[in-house]
Amino acid sequence: MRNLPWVLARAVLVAGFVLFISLPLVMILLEAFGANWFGMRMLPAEWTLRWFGWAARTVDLVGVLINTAEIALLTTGLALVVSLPAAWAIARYRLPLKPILIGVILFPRMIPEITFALGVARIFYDVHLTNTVIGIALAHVMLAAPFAVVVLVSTFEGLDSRLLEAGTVMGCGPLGLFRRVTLPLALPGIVAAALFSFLASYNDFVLTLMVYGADTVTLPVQTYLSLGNGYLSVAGAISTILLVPSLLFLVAMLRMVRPENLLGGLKGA
Amino acid sequence: MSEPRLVLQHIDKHYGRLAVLSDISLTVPRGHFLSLLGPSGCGKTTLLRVITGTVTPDAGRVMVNGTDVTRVPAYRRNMGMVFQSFALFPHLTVADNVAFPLRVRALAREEQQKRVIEALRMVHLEALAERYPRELSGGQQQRVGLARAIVYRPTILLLDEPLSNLDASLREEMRLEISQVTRALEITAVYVTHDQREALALSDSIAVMKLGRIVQFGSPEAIYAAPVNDFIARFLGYANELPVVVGDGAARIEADGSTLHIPAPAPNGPATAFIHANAVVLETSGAPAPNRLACTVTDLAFMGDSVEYVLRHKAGLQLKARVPVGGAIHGRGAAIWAVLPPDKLIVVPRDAGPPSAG
Repeated sequence: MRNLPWVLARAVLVAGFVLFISLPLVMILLEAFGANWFGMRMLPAEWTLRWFGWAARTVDLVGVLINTAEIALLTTGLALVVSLPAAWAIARYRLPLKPILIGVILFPRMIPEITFALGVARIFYDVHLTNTVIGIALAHVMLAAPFAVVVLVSTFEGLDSRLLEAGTVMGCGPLGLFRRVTLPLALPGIVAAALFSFLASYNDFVLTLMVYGADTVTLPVQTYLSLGNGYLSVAGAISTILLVPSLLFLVAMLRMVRPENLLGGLKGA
Repeated sequence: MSEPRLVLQHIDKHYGRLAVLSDISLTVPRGHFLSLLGPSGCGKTTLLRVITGTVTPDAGRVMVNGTDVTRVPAYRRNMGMVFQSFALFPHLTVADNVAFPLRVRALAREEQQKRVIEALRMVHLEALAERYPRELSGGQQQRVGLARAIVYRPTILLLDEPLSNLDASLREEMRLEISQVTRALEITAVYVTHDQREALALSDSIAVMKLGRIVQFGSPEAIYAAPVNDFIARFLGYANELPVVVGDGAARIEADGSTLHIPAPAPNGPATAFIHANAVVLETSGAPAPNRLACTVTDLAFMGDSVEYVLRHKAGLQLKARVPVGGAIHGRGAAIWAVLPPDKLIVVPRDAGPPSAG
């Protein structure tokens, strides 16, 4: 028997949750595509693309996009280079002081980002890494690597060692085993780690704000700058542009990697 | 005479202070099917890994075709292995799983295809070549495992409890499959199991293992007829055991001191007499006969072609008897004679247990 009040309550709860998550997003989209939105009006009086035009005229959008992409890609590559061997060692070997090691890796994510950012900025001024793509990418690696390591550790821990034994008995040397067995089995986890790293850099604002310069403005920083200039709708337009790759990645991730693989092991992936 | 396919000489392996394998020596001729039979923890799987090369022994030598391979890494030994867990690659189709060892060996494409089809046909799976392992039943997955292990014509085929992850109904079918494939290819096989029926049915010879040692080695018939101690007799599934003391050519049942006639002289001292359930004869009357024990029926189960009785002897011994259907059925509580024919009894010394040193 259907229990109608319960079904209704559930529908309201789900709708409320979706609204709670999406309302800020809806507001920004309305700001970006609307005009003459004043007072107590529910919706803007006018729909327009002019804020995107303004954004393009007042801001070097292409340059900002290129900066952002360069930094995010560089971060992704560096984060993988660092976290693949680290995660392999943590997952597959008996290491002394393993908890301390994991603590050190997670540290940059566990403290307030602004504290961490101040320290990074202090160092970067001395070594002239502010306002450089490589410098900002290096700083972002500190934020991206913890995520990547956590995902990769659970990936590598989930690798079935019997499959590795099977590969070895069937004739795979160490390199062949990595290429033919380990890598394909771990691929969903590696893709997830790469996406997380990319987004950690792409979405970052606080740390970037402390070390960016005129040549290295990223989209989140540009959004903030435009807001500072008093143009909420232009900031909304830039935010909307910022949103597109994030949503694409989210869709890609859900299609390529089963969500449970991000949370637990990869058994039977 | 050609060299034996596999010779193990005085293999020792310790994990910390635990001796997993102690002084194991074995010879397996070409085309021979050897089973390593023993309870879990007896070292049989470790011994298999010593042969594949994924475990290096602390002492001893592994000889394949007369060549010492003890220090040769596993991936250069050309061994084939069937795993208890199947160990199929989940990211590859059935055909790609079977082709995997051929790709590693960089065989020509046409040769690969030919051999994959051949191997899949051998295990009757050619129709499922494009499926993924997760789409197959356990029995089908293990047949893929078998095809993958023979497709590159390994020097020795090793099977690690290949049936124990299968449903009971599938085990016999898969066992026949393994038997047919290994005989057809005349491949040398080493088969690890804790199931004495599998070992008896498949093997040319059996090594019974306990606590890292080989306790008895011989043909299935010889081991079944004459187990060397009570551990092996129990392991081979003898249903009835009677603790006895042997002296002056006769055995006395420990429980009540009555005499048990035994077929052949046994060494003096404590021993155990064994008899199969289907060798026990039940009588309700008749002349006194040797080895006739007064019992009460405590339980019975109708098995279709036979009836299984659980009997209790007055001295407290419990006996099991399996009688073909046809005669009268004795109900619970019935008084009955259980006759143990002397020629069906075996009397073996009691296992000394683990050696105290080592």
